[in-house]
Amino acid sequence: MTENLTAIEVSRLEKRFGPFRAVKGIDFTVGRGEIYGFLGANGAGKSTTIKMLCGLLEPSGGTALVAGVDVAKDPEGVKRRIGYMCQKFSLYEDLTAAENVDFFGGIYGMAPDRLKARRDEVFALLELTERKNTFAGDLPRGFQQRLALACAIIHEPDIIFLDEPTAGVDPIQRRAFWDLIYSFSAAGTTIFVTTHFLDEAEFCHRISFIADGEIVAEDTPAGLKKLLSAWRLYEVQAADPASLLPAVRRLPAVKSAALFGDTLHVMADAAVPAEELFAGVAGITAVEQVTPTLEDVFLHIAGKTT
Amino acid sequence: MRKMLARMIRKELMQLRRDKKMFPILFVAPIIQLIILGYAANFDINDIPVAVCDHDRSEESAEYLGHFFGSGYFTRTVEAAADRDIDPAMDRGIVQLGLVIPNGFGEKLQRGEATAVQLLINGSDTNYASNGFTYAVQITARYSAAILVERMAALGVSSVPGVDLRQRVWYNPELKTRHFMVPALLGLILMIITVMLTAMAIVREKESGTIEMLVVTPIRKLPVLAGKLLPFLFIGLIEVLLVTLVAINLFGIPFKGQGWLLFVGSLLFLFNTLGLGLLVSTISQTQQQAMMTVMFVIMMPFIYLSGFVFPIDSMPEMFQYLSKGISLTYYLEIVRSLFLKGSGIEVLYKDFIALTILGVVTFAISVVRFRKYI
Repeated sequence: MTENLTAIEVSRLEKRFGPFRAVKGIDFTVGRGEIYGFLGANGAGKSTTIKMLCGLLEPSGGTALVAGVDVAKDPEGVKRRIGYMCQKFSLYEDLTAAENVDFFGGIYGMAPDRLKARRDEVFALLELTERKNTFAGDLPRGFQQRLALACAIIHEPDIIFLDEPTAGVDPIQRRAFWDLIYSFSAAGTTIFVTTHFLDEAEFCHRISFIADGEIVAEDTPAGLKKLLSAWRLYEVQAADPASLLPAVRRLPAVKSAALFGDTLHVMADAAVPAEELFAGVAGITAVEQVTPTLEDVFLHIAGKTT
Repeated sequence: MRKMLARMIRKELMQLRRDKKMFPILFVAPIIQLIILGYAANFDINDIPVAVCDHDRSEESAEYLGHFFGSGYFTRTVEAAADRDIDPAMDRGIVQLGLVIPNGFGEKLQRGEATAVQLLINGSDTNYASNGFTYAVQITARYSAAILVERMAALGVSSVPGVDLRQRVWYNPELKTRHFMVPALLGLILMIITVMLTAMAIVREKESGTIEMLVVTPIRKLPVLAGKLLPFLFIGLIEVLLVTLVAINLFGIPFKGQGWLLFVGSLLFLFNTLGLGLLVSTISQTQQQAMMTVMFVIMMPFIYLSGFVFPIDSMPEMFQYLSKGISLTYYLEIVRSLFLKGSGIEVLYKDFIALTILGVVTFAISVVRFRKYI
């Protein structure tokens, strides 16, 4: 048995709208069972790329193989092998949880008894069994999210596309959702996820940043943070941090500084020791080096590209 | 493919049944509309209130007034002592007409001389004005003719040459507005319900984003479309039956034509309205937009230009051409002919063809747009 270890293979994928190149020949591969984060500002080409991968939009150039199927040649074949959950958790609010899932299962052509067995299984996994006869519109937001996921995975897709899957969901539900995503990944399902929450992106195995239709960085979260190895991030405490901001920014070794709660976050040249760095600024009570987050990385990359 | 269509239809029907507001909108509102419009949409003029100022007070004037008010078209509401008393009554809308009989009316008639009466008309309501005027002219002409015949007979002339217009009204012998309007209401109700509901049902899925979920599934667009439209086609046909039964049983309007022609005509008309609903859904993002578009872009021109209210023949030429592009025009023709005249296919085939052509064009445009934008 030849197991294909690549779930998505994109090569020089391009989309033009008239003279405008929304996606400029991007390349990436996503392995089977991988959780792949796709990050980018609005208008960076994120949704255009997803639409091409889901077989909704025809590429203008290049190729994209999704679950081994060429999206340009057989978009319907792609659709059968993927699940999609959009950020609005679009459900039929006047149908019950079970009816929603049954409808989507039916559309995927599942036989009634197989559908029923699979639905029970999915509902048990997502802890929806008790709510199966509740109207989707009456479900709390976190349950709606899981129901939307249930609709997306009812037909056992090889790849799940999640578009901003946790928008408007509380942190506990969000964490529980990610635990589920990990279990799918462990079972061999590939997850392609877009998100605005950069702390959430840390849950991904690999991340790529898209800006202006091009992938500007792609690595593991830890690998991306190494991009900042020439810089150090400090948390600076002071009685009145806001008043210190202009002075700190003027320091020659400082790349950027911003208010962060009641402290300042300062990114500065790693070659300059901390004691030396802030010597000229009065009023600082404590300086501590902190680990950069993906947000810092993202701001760093975005700062470079603009 | 057929399985998916069945899935779609089942889901649509489930949603329709769940919608608690839908049942009254579908079946109660049309009946209420029919009853209200059936009784209110009445252009028949009877009992026009009249102010009378009889300066003559002779036997002749009393006889003339007897004829005038004996016709049933007028009611003697105000007795005016002087001409100027008519003015305030007409101002306040108490009367629509004023009738002034001058001094010497009887005397002149007795002497065999011509005389005159004055009719004052409230022109601000053209319906009252034109009808009142017509009736008054007819009554007066008949009264003069009677006097003439009487006078000639007295002179020994037994026959007076003249042309007598004998009228016989076909199809609607009593010229009842209701017989004309109620069948047309069928067209109006059918149009409002099916265009509006189709547009709303599709736009609702756009609003909730479920259409986005549908397009990433392997379901093709045609089953989605058919699944959306077929339930409304079915509801439309039930509506036809319902309205026809109410028209016949409650309003006593005869249905003289063949039932299958009404069925086929309605089917063709529904083809048009569902296509229009679909078209609206492709250009609207929200249900509100869809509702406004249906109201102002479809319903208004349909009502005004289809001959529902104003006769097409009396429209300026440009509007007559516009009315030819409106499906309701042909459907009204079919429905009115079927109810009142009992026309057969040999007469109505042109309207059927026109409905078919318009339906195919509307549908083609909207399906293309649907496939492209949804």
